[in-house]
Amino acid sequence: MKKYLIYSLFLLAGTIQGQVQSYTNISYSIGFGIGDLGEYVGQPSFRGVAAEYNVMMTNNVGIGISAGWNVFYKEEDFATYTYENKSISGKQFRYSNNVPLLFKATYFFTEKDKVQPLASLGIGTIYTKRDTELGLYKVTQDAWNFCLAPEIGVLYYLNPQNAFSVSIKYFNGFQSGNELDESQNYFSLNLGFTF
Amino acid sequence: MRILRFLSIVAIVSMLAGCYPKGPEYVDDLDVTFTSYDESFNFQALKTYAIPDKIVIGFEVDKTGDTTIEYMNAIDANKILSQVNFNMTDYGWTKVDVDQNPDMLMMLGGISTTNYFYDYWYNWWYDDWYNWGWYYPPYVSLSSYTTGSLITVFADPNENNPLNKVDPAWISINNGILTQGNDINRVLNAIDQSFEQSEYLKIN
Repeated sequence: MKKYLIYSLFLLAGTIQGQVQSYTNISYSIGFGIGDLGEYVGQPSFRGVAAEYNVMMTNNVGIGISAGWNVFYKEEDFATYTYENKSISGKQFRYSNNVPLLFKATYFFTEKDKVQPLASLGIGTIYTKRDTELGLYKVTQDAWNFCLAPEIGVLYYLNPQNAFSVSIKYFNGFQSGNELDESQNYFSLNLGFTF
Repeated sequence: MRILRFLSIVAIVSMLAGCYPKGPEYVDDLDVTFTSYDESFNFQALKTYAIPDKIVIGFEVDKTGDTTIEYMNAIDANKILSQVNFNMTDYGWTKVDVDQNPDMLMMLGGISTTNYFYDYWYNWWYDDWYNWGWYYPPYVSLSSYTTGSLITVFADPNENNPLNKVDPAWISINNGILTQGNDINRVLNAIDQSFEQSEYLKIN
């Protein structure tokens, strides 16, 4: 009985291996901070990249991993900041580096066609590192936020293996730790290529 | 195909790293003015102040304990002191000589390198400028400040405490302005900023 079970497992593994379909997507990511992150930087980030690797479990469902990097940046005007009996003036240079690392599940609303709409949900973490520079001084705050990242998008196939992709993701990085005491959330518009 | 994927990721990450924001572009982007004051101090009850006519920017203590003092060149020092006096007059203060028993003392020092300035702050003021028996300058807990800072201390020399030291009523640090580029207008603007963000000094 045990022998048949082992044979069956090998047979199943071989079947999956023979049928497995996977794809990689690389995209340029434009970020739009909201909430605490939006108040901190106040303008979109045009410095971003994302990559993901997915395996198709059925014709409509894929699972995979994804990673990204969005750099938010703002140069503040010269200003005075007062706290109790102390005031400090200067130009602040604000940086927020956001690195989402996610497991994701994707549902394709149609089977592979010229145009294939999709929706996905990612779950994982975002590493956030916030640097605030003033003169020669710098304050660094960071956090590993638990993250949920829903996404909607569409693939436009050039041929059966390659497609352009457009998607909108919402990263909800839940509050974590003491340094950044609010959640870190942003939308991203991703323009990519799938192969 | 795997090589293509790997190279694609490397190329995109490299592009992103290449356009990482560079931050400050000009030296005056790094100028910072810091001020702090004693909230219990009543500036409104006072009227006069004294200020020396030189600014110390360095010092050296030899093995015998003698201190050699380096002063800022007179041209720049006069402009800086004039700007401080202009702002003080604008805020209603009257400048008097040090031997006219001023209510307050305004003291300036420039730091050209990273230093722990406090230990010698006392010596040069006491020995070289105000050798009149008062034990001061005020006790200032300065830690290290980096290149090119102008430090201004405003203190009540009549204040006594068991240690014969007084805390400054007001301190200003203009960080990053005394550089080799020597743009005196940056210094003067920074002094104006110190007063602008310290309206509690205004007595008129």
